[in-house]
Amino acid sequence: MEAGAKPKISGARLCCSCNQRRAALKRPKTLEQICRECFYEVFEEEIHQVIVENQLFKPGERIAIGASGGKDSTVLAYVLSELNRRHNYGLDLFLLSVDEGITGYRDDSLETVKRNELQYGLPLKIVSYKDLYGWTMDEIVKMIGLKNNCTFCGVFRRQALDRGAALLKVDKVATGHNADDIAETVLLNILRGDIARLGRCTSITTGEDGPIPRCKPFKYTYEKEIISTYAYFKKLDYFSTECIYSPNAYRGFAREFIKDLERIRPRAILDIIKSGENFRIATSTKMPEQGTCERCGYISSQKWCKACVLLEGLNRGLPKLGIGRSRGLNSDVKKDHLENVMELGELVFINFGQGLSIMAVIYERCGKGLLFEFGAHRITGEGSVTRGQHLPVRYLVFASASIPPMASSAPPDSAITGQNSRKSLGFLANAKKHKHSFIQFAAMTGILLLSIRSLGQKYRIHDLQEDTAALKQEQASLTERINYIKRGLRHEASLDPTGVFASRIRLLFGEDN
Amino acid sequence: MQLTLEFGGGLELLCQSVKIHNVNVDLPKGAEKLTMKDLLSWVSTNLIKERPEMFMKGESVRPGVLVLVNDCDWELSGQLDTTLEEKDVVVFISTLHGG
Repeated sequence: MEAGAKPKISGARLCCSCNQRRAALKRPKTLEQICRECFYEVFEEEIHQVIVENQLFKPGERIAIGASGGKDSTVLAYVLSELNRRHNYGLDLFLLSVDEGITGYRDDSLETVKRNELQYGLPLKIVSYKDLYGWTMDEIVKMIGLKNNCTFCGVFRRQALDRGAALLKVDKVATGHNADDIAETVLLNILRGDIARLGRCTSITTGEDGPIPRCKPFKYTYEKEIISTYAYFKKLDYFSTECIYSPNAYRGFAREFIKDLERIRPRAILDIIKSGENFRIATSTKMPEQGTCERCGYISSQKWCKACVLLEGLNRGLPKLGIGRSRGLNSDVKKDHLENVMELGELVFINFGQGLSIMAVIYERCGKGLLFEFGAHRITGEGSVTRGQHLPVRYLVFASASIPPMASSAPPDSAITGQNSRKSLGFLANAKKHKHSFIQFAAMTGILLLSIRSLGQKYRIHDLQEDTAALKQEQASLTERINYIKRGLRHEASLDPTGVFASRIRLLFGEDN
Repeated sequence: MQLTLEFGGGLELLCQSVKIHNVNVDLPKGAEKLTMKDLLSWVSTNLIKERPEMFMKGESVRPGVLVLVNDCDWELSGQLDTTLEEKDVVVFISTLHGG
């Protein structure tokens, strides 16, 4: 800014569109300076263009607007009802809300949606997690903590929205995802290596082959424009509290990164979306097949849909089920894929049969199987490997040294507590982690060493006894020989006439004779 | 200098859930005018009670926080160099909270 300039004085910068009014906003998409009135016009017209060009709606359709009470869906509800009237789309619009059951967050934002219902005259339908799944998010968080709660919420919400839409008998669901959200999702799918989602996350309409397609009329609309000018200048009633359970969400990092990029170069957001659209997934890439869940009939690429797996975990008290790598119910872990499930540094239990079993740490992954480490030893042979809650699976165990002889001292299978450790840890770190098993392991080794030692001592005593007997025998024979020599010498001395030799012998042998 | 500050989009949570603050900000020593840069450091010392990283990043606001000076995007008035005058209204809105 040049010194002395007073930029905010009325008239200093005029709208580049009407050239009459004072500019109030710099559009991130075009860097144009524009006044409020012109902005509303351009903003609504652009969304109309997006709707027309992409044929998002057909006359007479019933459309549900996914309404959270937040800024995007509030603005979407306003803009769609406005455009529907202005351009005679001929749509029947509904508001559809999901009640996750988060006290202090969703209950408040639902109040906003209820006000929107009256303000825009759109009928509202609320579906709740409690009704659909029997659990509120409050209850889920109480059970699983704050680590993977967003996974539950996201999976359940997606399905809840579809079920609500089915109840409303709508033809399509429109969601308030904006350009920033889509750019974030593109990045997240790259970071997660999720090819299937990367391919479809930039489509403006998704699920066209499914029962109820979804569309994103705000695909090219910047969050900044939605919030600032619209929700603020038009004073739309929206709710803006952060979800009380979300601070741990992975998405937050991507979100912040996108905002940093936007500050440096606002077009970056549209460019990321463009990049996402232009990804060409190789036709040889194996994509998950879309089927239906055996349990609830929802679309799923697995036997059970994600929501059913998560729900089963909750109901069985195993909330980790379905989180992270596929394990447990849905994990079609084939035996020969076991190595992909086990992690380096994990403590496992190897059974070689015939009562021979040891506890070992996975040391290395090699071509044919896994290399295990047992103390300083490497083990070889074919054995079955047990870990945590898994069933034993036959496994090739490789390496150099032979199996230490400890057949009888191995603990029973049930004593294993080697759980899945997340990353490859050193032996010491693992020992710390699996303290219980490690103490058991150390005690076993101690007992083994003691018994080997006592066995050795027993053998030594036996040897010593034998040695003593032999020595005694030798001593006896030596005494006999000495006596014989003595006798011979005395006889020779008695033959000597001088008597000198005899006295000398008497002196040497003592007075005994 | 009398100013009206408004926090929205969740930022009000950082200043004890009060959205509108009527404040009196003194000019920095030796300065003739108050800039947005001065105001931001005043706000982060005097108004932000928790999680200052949600509001500031470096010496500017965190990317994703929108600033309006008298209902006008501060990107049009020079951002940190924007000069403020008596009875100006400054609005901060966060876009970082869910939509």
